[in-house]
Amino acid sequence: MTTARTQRIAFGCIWAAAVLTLAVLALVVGLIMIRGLPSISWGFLSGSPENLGRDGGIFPTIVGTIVLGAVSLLIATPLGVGAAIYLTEYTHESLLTRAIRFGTESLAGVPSIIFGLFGFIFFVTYLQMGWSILAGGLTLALMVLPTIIRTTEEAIRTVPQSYRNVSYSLGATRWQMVTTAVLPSALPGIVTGVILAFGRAVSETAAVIFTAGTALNLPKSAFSPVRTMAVHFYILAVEGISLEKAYATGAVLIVTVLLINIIASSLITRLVRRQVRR
Amino acid sequence: MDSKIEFDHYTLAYGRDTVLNDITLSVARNAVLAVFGPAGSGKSGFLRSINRMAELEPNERHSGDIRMDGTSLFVPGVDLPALRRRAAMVFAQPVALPMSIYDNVSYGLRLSGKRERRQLDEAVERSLRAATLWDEVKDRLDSSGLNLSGGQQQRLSIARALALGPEVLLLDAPTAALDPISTGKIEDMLLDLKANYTIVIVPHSIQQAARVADAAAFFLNGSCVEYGPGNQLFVSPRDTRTEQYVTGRFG
Repeated sequence: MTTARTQRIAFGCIWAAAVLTLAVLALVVGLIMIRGLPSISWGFLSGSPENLGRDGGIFPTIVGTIVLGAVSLLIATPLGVGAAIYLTEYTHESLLTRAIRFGTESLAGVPSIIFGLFGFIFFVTYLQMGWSILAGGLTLALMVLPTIIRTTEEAIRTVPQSYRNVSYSLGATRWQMVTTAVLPSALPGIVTGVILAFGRAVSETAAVIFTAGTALNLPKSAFSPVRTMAVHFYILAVEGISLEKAYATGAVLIVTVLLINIIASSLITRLVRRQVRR
Repeated sequence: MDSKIEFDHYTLAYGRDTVLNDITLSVARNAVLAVFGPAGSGKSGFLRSINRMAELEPNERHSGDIRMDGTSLFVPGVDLPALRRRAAMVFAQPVALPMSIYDNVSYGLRLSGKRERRQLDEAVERSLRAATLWDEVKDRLDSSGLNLSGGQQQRLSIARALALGPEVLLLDAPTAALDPISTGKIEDMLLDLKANYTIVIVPHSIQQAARVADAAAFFLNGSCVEYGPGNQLFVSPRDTRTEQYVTGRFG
């Protein structure tokens, strides 16, 4: 076989893989949108569910999704970014760092239902938080922690060593070096990781049902139970309450995640542009 | 001769690798010392010992002493950031931090807690002028330092070091990545700066060493083979190894 022919075949395969991936994505999103969009109205977005969700809207579940996602990120981001900074900037490779890294990798491989069970036993029952935003947020935080640690570590590792040397040589303490030379450069990567984590948190069902409950009313405090859109979708579909409303909920969930992605990535571009051009 | 920095039987090792071996040598005040030798001879280690950057290497060990103005760098409780502001360093690769030109130059001052705008403005202009970059960038101090050319970025690095108001400049092959014109600008600048600073430079060529140095030290495998004032090392080296290196027979 000639090299030109190999080249053509290889290109064809790669092209097909890319197109196929895009097609699957379009199919999934398209199907949900086609089935869901017709039932979406202002009343659906702003109203409360009636008859277990057969009628009415999904406003409390939108609030539940955003609040739960936000609480889990508020807990997981400082922890994860802190751990990543420790691993990359404050230690040399040692038994301890290997243990921490192995631990987080293992955590990433644990099925979400196990996190749900743990959250139920520890936060909900033992710490007596009950089914609540707090218990759900803590559980989801544990679940997305590995994502944030991993992406932050990667982002920090791409910062040129020369930035660190220059910073030290100009009289920076280690902490100043991290905050003024490393973190600003790593920020876009860190934000990407946090968005990934948000996507995982809001699309989770199993762990959430066990820890945040499935309540249909608006939450009043951090100790109120909530239902997220993903859980709502699951219950509507599995219990055969209303497939039509289930798809509509799914469509709103997809659009929400998409919106947050767009907002965050435009934020990143603006950040990067300020660093590079200005 | 009045000396600014004195190495006193100083030995440096990273893990099992000996970087510097029993160095005793002094650097005269307001003069340029060129430290030259083949790759791996310990020149950078020598430079990095003066601002104690060498300690950032894993498993760094040292013995002996280094004194600046008669005081040991290793007395307990030495303020490292303050030491690094006194002995400012410029690296071989030009590095503009991803921030504006103004922020790059004022970076070290801001690290030390100086925030007053007028003070920073003044330091930025003075340093950029001294680094002969002011005329090229004065109208775009707010634009990113990353947009400057390599030669400009290196002069930016020098301005950043000068802004600290240091007493000593440590230049680690500052023209290694530059074209001859930028190199010439930086060499001219060094001769001007000498009036106010003590300069230790790792030159990127022997010709450069001969052009800028008031004294020179030839390093080989971590030892200082020969050390002498003025052009003596280049014109009439005493050690045969120095002679061979200077005349290009090895290295």
